[in-house]
Amino acid sequence: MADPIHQFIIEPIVPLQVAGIDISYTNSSLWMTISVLVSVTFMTLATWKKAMVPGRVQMAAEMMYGFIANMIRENIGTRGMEYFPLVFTIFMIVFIGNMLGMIPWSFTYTSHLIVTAALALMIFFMVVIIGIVRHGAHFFHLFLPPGVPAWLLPLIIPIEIVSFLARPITLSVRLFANMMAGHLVLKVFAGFSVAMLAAFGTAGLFMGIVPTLFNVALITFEFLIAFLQAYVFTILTCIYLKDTIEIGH
Amino acid sequence: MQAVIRHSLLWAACLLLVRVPAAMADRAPVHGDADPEAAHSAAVDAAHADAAHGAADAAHGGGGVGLPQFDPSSFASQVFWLAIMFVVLYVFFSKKALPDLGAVMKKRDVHIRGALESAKRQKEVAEGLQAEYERDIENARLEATGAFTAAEKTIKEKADAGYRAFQENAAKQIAKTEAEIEKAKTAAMEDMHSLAAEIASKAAEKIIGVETDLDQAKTLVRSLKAKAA
Repeated sequence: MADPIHQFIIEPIVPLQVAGIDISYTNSSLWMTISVLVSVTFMTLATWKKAMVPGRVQMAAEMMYGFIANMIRENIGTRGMEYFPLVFTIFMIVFIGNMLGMIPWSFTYTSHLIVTAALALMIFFMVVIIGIVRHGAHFFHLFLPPGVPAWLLPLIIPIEIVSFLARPITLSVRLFANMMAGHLVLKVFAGFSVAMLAAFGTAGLFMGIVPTLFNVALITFEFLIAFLQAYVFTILTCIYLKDTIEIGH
Repeated sequence: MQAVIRHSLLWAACLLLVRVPAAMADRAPVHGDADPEAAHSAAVDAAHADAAHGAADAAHGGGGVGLPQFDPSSFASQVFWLAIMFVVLYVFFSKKALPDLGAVMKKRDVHIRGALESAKRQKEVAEGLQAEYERDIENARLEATGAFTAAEKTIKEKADAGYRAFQENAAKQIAKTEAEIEKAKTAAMEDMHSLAAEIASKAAEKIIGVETDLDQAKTLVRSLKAKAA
């Protein structure tokens, strides 16, 4: 029976070392490449005809375009459209990664904390650097919510600072934990079916149907999670990026 | 939105509560640089040894080397390739795909707006035409009514005139006839008077044998008639 952890193991395909650092092309890199190819192929097909009356692929791409554009307009404002390509890239890389992970024997690169952390830290440092460059000292008003009585400030300011610093942690752990936990549960339930067959023989074959049916429901749920977590990751990116546009608090 | 985030967080937390403590507990005793193959065979052995416990135990077996997610040896490679893929995608999206798609959508938007605008203009023209048409219809109706009334009046006048002429003519005819009858009657009366006077004078001559004056008899008859009337 397969080990549920096995699906997360990084296996080098092309070993590569630069200045003593291991940057091998691994199964993770392979699926990142596939993700990029899927995105590029999809968008190329979608913009192939540039049709006034869109076909199916173009329609799907336009819906995604509208989906992300609306998200930015609602959460950042019209001026946030300068981040449109960035937010779109983040959404696509996470969404396609989550979805590719649903293919059996594939590798879910978003189930690795380092990947989600890299994305989250990139956003975090973007917010800090762009925020300070644009707003100067005013950026630190972020930690000073308006309308708070002075005697509460010693309490509120540390809380605000901690919650600000926690952003990359929560952002990355949420995505990674969801993807890892979901895939673990799928594998564990699949393992139950096989284990029952091994333990009880023919009777186990019938008993094994129960976890299998459960897995069918779980897979549906996992598809939802795959989309939802990409959506949550992207929308939180928007909310964080808002601080570079205006410190409204 | 908040609810969605909170819900998914809760869900992740529940799964982590189930899974992570076990992984942590397993990591502690057998922490080492065992290769994945060994971990795998260990997991398979564990599964064979205690198949009834199923996959959960297998997970424990695999957890002996810790989650691959917490193995720092692959971090550099993952970040390196992620950065490359991210840059490739970003450049492709920002330089090619998104501007193209945006341009098509904007073009369509402009086209649709133009079509709506022209439809609105055409509707206004059509409404103008309809108003004009209705005005014309109204005018024609008024004209027709006028013409009808005039014709009716003319016909009535003509009929009246004809009727009046006929009436006058008839009255004239009647008057003429009446006058003729009156004349005939007067003449007849005159004849009767003469006849009566003649008969009376003839009778007087026969009865008493005297010659009578006819004119005197006539005068007498006339006075008698006047007395009777």
